[in-house]
Amino acid sequence: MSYFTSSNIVYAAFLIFLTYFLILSANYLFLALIGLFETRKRAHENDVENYPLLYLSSLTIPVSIVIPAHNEEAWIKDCLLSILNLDYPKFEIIIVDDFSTDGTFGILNDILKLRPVDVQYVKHYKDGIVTSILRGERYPNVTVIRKSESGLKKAGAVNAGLNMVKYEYVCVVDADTILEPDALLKVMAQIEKDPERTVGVGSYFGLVNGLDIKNGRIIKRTFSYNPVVVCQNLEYMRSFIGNRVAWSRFNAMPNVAGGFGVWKSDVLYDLGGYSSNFTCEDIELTFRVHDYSVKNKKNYKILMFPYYVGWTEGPSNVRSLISQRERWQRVTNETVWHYRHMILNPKYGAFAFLTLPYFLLYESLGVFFEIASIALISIGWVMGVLDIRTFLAFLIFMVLTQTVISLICLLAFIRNQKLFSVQYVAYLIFLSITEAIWYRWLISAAKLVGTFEFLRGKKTFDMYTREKRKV
Amino acid sequence: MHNYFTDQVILIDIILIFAIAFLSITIIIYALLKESLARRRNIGLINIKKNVYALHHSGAKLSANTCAPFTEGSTPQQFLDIETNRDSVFFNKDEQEIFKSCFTSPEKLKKIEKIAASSRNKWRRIEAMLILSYLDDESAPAICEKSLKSSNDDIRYFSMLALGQMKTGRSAEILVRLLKNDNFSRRKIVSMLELFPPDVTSSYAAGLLKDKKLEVRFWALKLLSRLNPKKHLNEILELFLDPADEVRAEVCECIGNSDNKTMADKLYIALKDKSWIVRSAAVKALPVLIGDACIRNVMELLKDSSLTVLSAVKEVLINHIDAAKPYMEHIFSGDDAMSKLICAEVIEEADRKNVKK
Repeated sequence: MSYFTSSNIVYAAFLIFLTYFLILSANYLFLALIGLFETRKRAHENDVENYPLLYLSSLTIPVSIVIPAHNEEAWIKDCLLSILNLDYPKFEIIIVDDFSTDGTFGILNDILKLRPVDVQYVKHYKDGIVTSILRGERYPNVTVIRKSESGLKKAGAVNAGLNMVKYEYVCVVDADTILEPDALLKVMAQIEKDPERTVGVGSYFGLVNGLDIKNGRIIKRTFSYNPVVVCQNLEYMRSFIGNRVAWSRFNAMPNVAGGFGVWKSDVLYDLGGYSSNFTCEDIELTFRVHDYSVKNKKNYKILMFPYYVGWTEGPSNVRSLISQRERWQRVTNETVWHYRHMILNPKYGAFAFLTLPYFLLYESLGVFFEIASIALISIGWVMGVLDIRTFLAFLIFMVLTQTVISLICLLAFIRNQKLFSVQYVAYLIFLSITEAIWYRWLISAAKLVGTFEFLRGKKTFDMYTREKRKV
Repeated sequence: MHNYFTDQVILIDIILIFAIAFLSITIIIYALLKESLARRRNIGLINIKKNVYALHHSGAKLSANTCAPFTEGSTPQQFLDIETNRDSVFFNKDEQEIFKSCFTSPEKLKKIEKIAASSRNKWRRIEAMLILSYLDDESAPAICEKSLKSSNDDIRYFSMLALGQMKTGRSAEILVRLLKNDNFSRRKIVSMLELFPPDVTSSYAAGLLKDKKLEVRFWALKLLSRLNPKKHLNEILELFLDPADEVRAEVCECIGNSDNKTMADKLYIALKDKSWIVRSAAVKALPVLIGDACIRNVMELLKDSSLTVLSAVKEVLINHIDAAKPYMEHIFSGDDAMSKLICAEVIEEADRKNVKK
């Protein structure tokens, strides 16, 4: 190939990548700014909302809380106690012990004093094999369903819980999540504004790593300084505040996260609950609700709030992080591929034009663009087609855009929350600036592995190795 | 030679570096300011609390002089902090009342009314409306009613909440009218109206019973069942044959709460309704109205095809186990396995409840 031909190829590819990054940056900036305003609005709403009314009224919507648990002995006690301590007038708890082989059931039994009950269990959702149903002597509003191994993953466990819910809204909470006492109150107050149309709701939750927790209550908010954990916190902020809250503004929210999500029961009923055909279940369900609602011409809303409702365990080392993100990448690809008919389809409105192109171009294919663009400008530089200035300018551009977005999200977050000390905020700023040098590439590597595993058809739910916790 | 836009990309990089520096400094300053403001805000509230406490225990009468030490510099935000206990400093009911009485100087009120009626800052306007509602200000209903017509969702919603806070005849009238016209907030409106004094609200609610929309009739009945259904029983009974199942079910709930035992016959008829929603509502309403006397009729529904009705029957039997036992013996000596099973479950559950007691 002659120099001129390769120079033209490099140039054409360069233009494609530059356009890609400019569009992506503009999209991020747009969403981050919308997120900034939207979080402010939600903070004002929170300040003036009449929460006592929810306590006093007999019409406050009761909620069924479903907790799927598989080998959760480290967290189940604190999770359950945090939920029993919720400031909410009426709720039931359904814990699904999904074939745990550790001490999960024993811990539940110690807290609840369980006894078998003979209740009607209608199998509407695909749940696998239920071996027993028990109820707490101490807390009659808590039911425990024990399941045997069925290969239906978390979806099967949640579905077993759904088979027993009796209220209009279902809140699905991961067993390694600790809820804030006002979590349900804040979210349900928003749902009560328009319960006819609100079918799904998520809210911000951060990482529990480092927090001092006793009996389900957060004693001291000592946030971890482990850079792997802190970068994830920044990522959560970018994802929740910078993207999801903004998408929610346009009813284009793609993912009510599995850690804490509230769904309208009748919608789940119509959809047949969670699907076990995917690696994970939360993002697929959200896509399916959009699809179902549009196809059935429903007037619906899926919302995301910036209120911190709880704290969940996150990977604390690089190996665990890559394992988790590899799984997330697989499910993202699976879902985008499965629902490809929605992309740029006018029937789906903002979801088709704002969210899905982002998912396709950034979440699914972004890793290839990133790696290919780095490879290209490196080759171009080696070949002498690109000079060192262009090479560095482009690299720095890629790094700086993400930093700016992180900082906008951090600003939005600290404007409305009183969580972090000034010292910790300074540390977050430092990592926002430096994460692009290392953390971003770890995530890219995980995404690359995840994409290859997706292409190979892997669909297992591999739990990363968790840090040992004193029970 | 191709143009790689190097200069333009470098320019963008420089802009981004400045943006990062600016944002970093802003965030740090903001975090510092926020910390210091929060501290000052808390100190302010603690000082108010100290003064209110001292005033409360001194027994002195409330006057401009006695109130002055802690109200002159107080802000509308502090008023809401105190009245709604939205910050970490807790004020009890008496302290809230004292502060409320001191807060209202005519000049201050005028200012707040002006903000509530026409401020361009949406959130200041909303806060002002809420303050007026806490102060039971005379002009508040009219201001809130006007705000209900705003094109902004937040202003509409919070003016509704402010009306709910007032609990006066005028605010009830406005909210009931809203119940008729607003398709999305009916549950919220009823949940506020049920906390109003019954006499203030029930006649307005009864006025909606003949509305064409079934949702309006449904929510009007729901509200009446929680207020004073006895007073409007005749109007309620006119809906006994309403075509909508949900409405007939609510009629049953109203009858149950009416204290009029002669109405039990209506509920017996409802036990045979074609809709499970109505049957289930009648099962729940009967013991509220006539207690144990309903058990025999309720037990006839042990063969009902609806799980919801069966669950309601079970609940009633558990709560009236002594009255139900003689009838259960009859069931146990019969052939119906399903009824036997339910009765066994009822006895087990009732025993467990008794042991717990």
